[in-house]
Amino acid sequence: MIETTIDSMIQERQQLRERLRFFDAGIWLGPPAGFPNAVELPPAELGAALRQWRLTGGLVSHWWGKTVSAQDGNRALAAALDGCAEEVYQVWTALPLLPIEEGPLPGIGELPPNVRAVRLFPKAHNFPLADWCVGTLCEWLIEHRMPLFIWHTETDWPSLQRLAAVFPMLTIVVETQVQKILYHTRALFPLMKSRQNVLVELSNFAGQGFVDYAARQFGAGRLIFGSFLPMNDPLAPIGMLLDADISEEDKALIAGGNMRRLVGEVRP
Amino acid sequence: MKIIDAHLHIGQPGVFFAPETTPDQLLAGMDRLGIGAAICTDHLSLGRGCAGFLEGLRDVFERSGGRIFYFGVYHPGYSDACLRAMTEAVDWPGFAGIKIHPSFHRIMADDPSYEPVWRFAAERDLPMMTHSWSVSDFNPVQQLSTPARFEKYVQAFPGVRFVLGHVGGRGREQADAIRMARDYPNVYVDIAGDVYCYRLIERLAAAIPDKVLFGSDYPWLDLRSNFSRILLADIDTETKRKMLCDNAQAVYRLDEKRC
Repeated sequence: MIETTIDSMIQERQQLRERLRFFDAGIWLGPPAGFPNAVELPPAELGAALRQWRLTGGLVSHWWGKTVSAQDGNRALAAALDGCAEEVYQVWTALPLLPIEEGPLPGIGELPPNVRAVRLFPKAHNFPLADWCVGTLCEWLIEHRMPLFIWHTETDWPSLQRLAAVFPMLTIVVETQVQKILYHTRALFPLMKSRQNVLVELSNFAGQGFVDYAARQFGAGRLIFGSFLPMNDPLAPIGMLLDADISEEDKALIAGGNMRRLVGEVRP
Repeated sequence: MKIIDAHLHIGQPGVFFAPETTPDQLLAGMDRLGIGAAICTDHLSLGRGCAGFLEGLRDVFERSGGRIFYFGVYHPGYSDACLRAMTEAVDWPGFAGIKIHPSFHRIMADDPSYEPVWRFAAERDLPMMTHSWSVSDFNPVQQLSTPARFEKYVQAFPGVRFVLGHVGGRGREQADAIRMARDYPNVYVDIAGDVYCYRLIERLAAAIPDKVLFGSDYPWLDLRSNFSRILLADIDTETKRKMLCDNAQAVYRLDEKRC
């Protein structure tokens, strides 16, 4: 009896998951740092992982961009995804480069055409998230319509608010790693209310009802699905979205529609 | 047979904004998902223990139609008051067991001041549930609740059914929680919280299928995340049933606590 109920619950969720066409903004290659139970995802297994978790594609980042250097991470990511047949795009690690450094993003040679977002690590890389330091980079991102990703643990809320205000055309995706963001909702939600260019990703947007609340208060267009694969179980954010008390259209936007639109708007 | 959320909270948490916190909101969420029963701790009890708060929880249980059961929180700093309150409440409808939280109470899990509550539980055949976590850079007090710190009491009181909440957290100490659940017949784990480790459900199903309890940690975490993790995990339906229903029933025996 209860098995029948459970099987029915599973079937409903599997069907909805297929319809929503999840597109993952948070896939990582390279050796995870700070996640002792996580196992590195080899590039050769990326396609299998996408299929296993019913992901139609996604944005891929490389741990070396934080833990070694932006330059090494970007080169490693470009090499890992060279010739990849999946619908995946690169998230490069950015820096406020100085004039003698090769740019516009850290690395060597041409920017690969499938770079569709950048991420900053102000704390790890020792620079302030201030317009006088990252302003040139932000102007370049706006020109190319490229979104900026940033872990909430890598900055502070006043800096984030000021950056969003100074550059209202810059799309900023606040990521909920590497500590759950619920302790910061009294900062995050007012920021999202006051700055339309601030979005949030879902991998640890995990407080009770956060998805429903944010979708109603700020619009489903402000939420981006990310899994933080292979550190996290993709089913955690998938589950929050499948059972959210919002329309299926809004779920589809959050699951992948919003990020696909942002990817499509980038001018490489 | 019903689905049981074996680890959640009611009331307003002080340290963050939570859009849903009340028993009525919890029941609505449980109804949407098909969760039949839950076992809660209230945030008031976490502060100084359960004395003075169990009556309110009994009221919540009764108003919920017998669906929201409750723990009595033991705080070692208020030992006598907690044990007196639980002595009175132990046969009340909905009283499901005892919760301890060494990190929140800033008293190490192997401290002698926990001995009275273990003895209390053993003498009354009451289950205990604890917060457990890994050593954390973000939150140093978690070192007070690492799984191995509970081991001396687990060994001393083998008759107490004991649940390591949060499976020992996301770090290296998670392996100790799994080891203890495997090696000690009286030790279980629940998956409440953001223990979103990759393929954790599958690993637990392989290692300790009869010792894993579904929990959400509502309203800190969303009811729906861990629920779907189990439903959609790459494991058989029988094991899902154990995690969602049977194992919590084996520990807390909720059917015996309705009247």
